[in-house]
Amino acid sequence: MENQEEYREYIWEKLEGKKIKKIDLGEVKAAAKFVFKDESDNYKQKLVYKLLQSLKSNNQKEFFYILIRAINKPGEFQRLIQTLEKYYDAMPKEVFINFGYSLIIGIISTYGGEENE
Amino acid sequence: MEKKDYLELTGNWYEDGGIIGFIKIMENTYGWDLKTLKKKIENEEEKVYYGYFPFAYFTSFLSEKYKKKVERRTKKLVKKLEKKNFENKQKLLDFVWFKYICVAWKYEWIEKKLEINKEKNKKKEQGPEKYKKEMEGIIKLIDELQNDLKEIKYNEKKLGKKKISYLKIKKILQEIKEKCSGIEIKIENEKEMGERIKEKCSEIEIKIENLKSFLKDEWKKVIKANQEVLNDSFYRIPIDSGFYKNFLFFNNNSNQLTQKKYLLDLINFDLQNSKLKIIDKTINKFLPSQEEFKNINYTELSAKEFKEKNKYFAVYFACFIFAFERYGEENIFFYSYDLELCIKVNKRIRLQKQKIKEQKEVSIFNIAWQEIFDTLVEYKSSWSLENMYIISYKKLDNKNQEGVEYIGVPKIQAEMLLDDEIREGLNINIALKSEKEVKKFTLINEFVVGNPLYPIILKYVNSIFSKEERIKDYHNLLISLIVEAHIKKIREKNKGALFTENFFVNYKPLLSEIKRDIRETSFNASLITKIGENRDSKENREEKTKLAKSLYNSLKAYDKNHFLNTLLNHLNKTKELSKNKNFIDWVFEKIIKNKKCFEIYGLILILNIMR
Repeated sequence: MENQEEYREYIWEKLEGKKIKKIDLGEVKAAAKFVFKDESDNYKQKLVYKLLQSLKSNNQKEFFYILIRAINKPGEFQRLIQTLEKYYDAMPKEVFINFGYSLIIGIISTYGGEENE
Repeated sequence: MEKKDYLELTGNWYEDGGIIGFIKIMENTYGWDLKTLKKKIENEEEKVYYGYFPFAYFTSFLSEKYKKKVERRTKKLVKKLEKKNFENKQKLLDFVWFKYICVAWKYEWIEKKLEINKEKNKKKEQGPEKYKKEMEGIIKLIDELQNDLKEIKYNEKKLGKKKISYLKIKKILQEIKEKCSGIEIKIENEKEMGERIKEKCSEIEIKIENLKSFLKDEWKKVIKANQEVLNDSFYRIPIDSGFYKNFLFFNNNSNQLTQKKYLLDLINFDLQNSKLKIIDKTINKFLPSQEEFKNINYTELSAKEFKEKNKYFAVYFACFIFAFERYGEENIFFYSYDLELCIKVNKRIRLQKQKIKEQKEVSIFNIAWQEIFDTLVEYKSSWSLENMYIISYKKLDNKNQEGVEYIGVPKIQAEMLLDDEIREGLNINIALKSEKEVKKFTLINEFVVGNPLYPIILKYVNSIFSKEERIKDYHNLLISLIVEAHIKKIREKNKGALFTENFFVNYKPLLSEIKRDIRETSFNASLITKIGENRDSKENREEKTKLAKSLYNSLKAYDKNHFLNTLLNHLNKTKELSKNKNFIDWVFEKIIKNKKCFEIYGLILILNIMR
């Protein structure tokens, strides 16, 4: 798996011991949506802006620093922390990008409280 | 015993091509459609293969102007053969050969023999002494005439050519005579010289006419089957084919008797006596040679197998080249396992020949595919569509095969095309301007041969930016892109597998999936047009174009990160759209989660912004 080319094939799954671990992007999105739904739009907009900046430069360290600072609170944030714990790993670039955007779109979808159809 | 259908397609394109060629020459000569031909074969098989076929085959090699002249003769033959019965095949063939084939070839043979060929004459020419002597005389006179013309500074270039047909010579002589009559006297003796030239011209004309009537008499001997002339290759029927050098009646050294014998051998095809044991390049230029055949270690492609299946297979091999129709530089032939469809489509393409001449920029392939679709829609034959090929070549002879192409329609594409909505969606033209030229694409044609559509549409979007226009035909582009996205997904999924699950279920579920996607994407992606306030204002338009350009640039670089960053940044700013669950879910499903073809859905978004 060290080989980059080989990794490309396994973007969505990772072998851990004998188990195949798959990233469920839907779960990431849902968790983000769940924990941020009660925050104010202004706060979320700023947060998303910062996260997007770190994603743009593919800076994983900064991305998670911003994210963990934002969720370092008691209560419902635990759910996202659990999801992160489950999937956070030194991800190859493409996995990180998809992971990051799934999370961001989860946050974005909570703007204005109730969703429209 | 049940009658065998000798026109049944086998699935071997090189054999089936011959069957199509056979049917085509029979139709062109006698006007019989497939049904009539089949009936004829059923009722009088021997007459068809030993009587009607040889005449049709040999007259197919006549030049166009002489072909028209044999129409009456053809009708006579049909009448005669319907009434007359023959003792055996040999007698039947002899009758058709001398009374009809040779008669049909009379004028073309004479024209060929009267051709002034200055080079050829230097070598030893065959034929009767009188002919050789007369021909030599004519050439000598032409040389003298040329010298005379030089003296009066009348340069007749056409006379200097190495090969001139006698009809042309006659025309040139007439011209010279006219000019010499109108000559102004400038130098001494010029008028005298003019007269001399005119006399020489007339002399040549007379000599040619004499030789012509001599040749006519000679050919009468052939028709009467005079053994002496039949043994001389001078009297052979002058058919030639670069494609079929190995069918011996094309051989220049053969005489009438051997030509006839080789033809009979071909139809009879006696395995034991025939030299043709293995089917390879020697019999059809499209096949590899015996050494090159990949499966030769396992089995040979032996003539025996063919003979067992269809006793007239060699006849078809000889007709193969007639399956093709020439269009400009290209020779093309449409092939499918369904005989009727095959004939129908080839005929329809042929009828479009005129159209090609009128519209020069339209390629034959565009027309061919269009005709194929039209026929198929009428026919609704999914099985044939899955097994269609267009075989084309530019030039073929003994050594060279130029521009040979086999274009098949992949099964998955075929299935899609039978759906009206998809077919109509794909049927649009896109013109792309580059520095040098304007390239026109018809998406359906590209699709049929399995070319990707995404790059074409991406380039088209770029051209929209530079022209500051809006997207036209949005719905067609949407359908094209979604079809492509699904095919791409299936391909990735089935990588390396020859027969997939879908191969047998005919991709029907995929079709309904595509349609659902078209509906959903059409609605969800269009929501992006709701960005910003004052939607129709100039500022809003400019902002949208800016966004579209930025997204386009990331697609061009195939940069998913940049694409999503730009898009989500925009969504972050415009809260209205980010609240829309349908849109958010669509972006998530089709772009973020999509690891195979996010770019296609990305492009659909851009199309929506630029509508």
